[in-house]
Amino acid sequence: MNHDKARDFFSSYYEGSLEGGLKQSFELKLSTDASLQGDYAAFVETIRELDTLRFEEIAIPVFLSDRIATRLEQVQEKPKFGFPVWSNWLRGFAVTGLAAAAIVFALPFFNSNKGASTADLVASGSNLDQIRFKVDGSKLVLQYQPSNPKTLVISSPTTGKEIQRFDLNSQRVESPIENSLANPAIFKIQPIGDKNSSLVAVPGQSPSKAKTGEGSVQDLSLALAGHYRIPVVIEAADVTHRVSWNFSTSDVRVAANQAVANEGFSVDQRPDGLVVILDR
Amino acid sequence: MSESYLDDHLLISRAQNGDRSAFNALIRKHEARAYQYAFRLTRNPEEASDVVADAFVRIFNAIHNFKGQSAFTTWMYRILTNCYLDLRKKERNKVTTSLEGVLQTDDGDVERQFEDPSATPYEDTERNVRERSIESAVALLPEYQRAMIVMYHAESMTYEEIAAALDLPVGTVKSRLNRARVSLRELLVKDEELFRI
Repeated sequence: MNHDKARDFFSSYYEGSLEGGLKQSFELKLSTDASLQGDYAAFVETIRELDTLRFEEIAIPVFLSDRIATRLEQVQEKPKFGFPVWSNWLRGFAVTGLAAAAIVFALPFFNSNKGASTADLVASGSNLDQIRFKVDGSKLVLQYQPSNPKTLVISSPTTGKEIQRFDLNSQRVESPIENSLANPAIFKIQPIGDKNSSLVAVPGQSPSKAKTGEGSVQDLSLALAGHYRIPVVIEAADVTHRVSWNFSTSDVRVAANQAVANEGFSVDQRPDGLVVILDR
Repeated sequence: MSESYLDDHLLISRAQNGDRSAFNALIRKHEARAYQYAFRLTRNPEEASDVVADAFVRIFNAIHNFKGQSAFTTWMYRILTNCYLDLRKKERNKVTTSLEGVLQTDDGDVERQFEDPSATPYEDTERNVRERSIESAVALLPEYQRAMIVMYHAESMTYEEIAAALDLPVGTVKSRLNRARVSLRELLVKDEELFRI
């Protein structure tokens, strides 16, 4: 054991947790190396000085509580477009059931055309009134910009209960969607007054081991999201159509195609990983 | 009975259901402890208050994600540490002039910052001088080492609690803490040499 290596064991030797051969080697080196003895004595002195840190009296500033409250108020005031704040959707999910509780719409990012970059304007101009999803890192993000004032409603397709609504003028809404429950959950996103809506299945926190099953296309999307940990969007008209599945492959697109290919649907997988089931 | 004396899990559960008074009680219960930790890291009341305020905003925004797998205080320490590291990162991006330059260590550059230059050691008892020099030396450690030293020696957290708060293996915490203590000794020796001049 050399000098530098011996210094690595100062703490564990001081705490009595160095055992066996290492302890013997350390003590042998310590007994024969005067420089190490000096270093260790200084180390012990440092530990004793460090232990005085807990006795330091620290006065709490009188402005601390106000500063925390002000900062929290600022955060709550940020969304100025009349959508429910954090506490409201939390209260909401208590009455909308488990499926609704699964989703976390983080504070959405709103952007009016005035503040948008040229690239944003070009992109948003071509996508007006379209509900779009993208996968950003590990997060699913909902994007929507109406051409005229609209209300976007997020609900549970299984219970029909509303989870959240955004009152929009012509702002672009961009809201990350997270599912904090163990199992996947499915959500319906619909602008009020529009015929078209989107369904999206969001993976939960735990992967599903189930490889086989049968049910509706909606059930398939949940099974895919749970097993492959990838969000699945349904853009097909008949989501109640019965299908069966067997996830024998590691490729989610192949697995989904095998389940729906002979049923009048097709499957697309976008470069960001998002799986889309659509009418053929 | 004041809500501040209620169990953390109960307050968190109520806060997760939208009860703002429960969240306020959680703040009142932990703000002093949070501030003491933040002050020990920053050695500056303004910065420490900002770190604590930012941390409670993050806690507020993420309270629905807290599943109770660790103690609330462990989670709070993690968020406080992240807020402190973010503050330092912002400061590093500002142009500053250092009189002392930097000291190279295994864990990166150590900023040479001498706190509270107005007080002189000659005005205090020797014990106070020693205590202040250890605090000043801790303030010279790289941020991550500083956080670990404060957690263990000032906040009396166990290695396991520190590992949970910093999301590191216990063995890594032990080895980094040992390295921090050894570095601290070298900084204290330098400090003593300064006093001798």
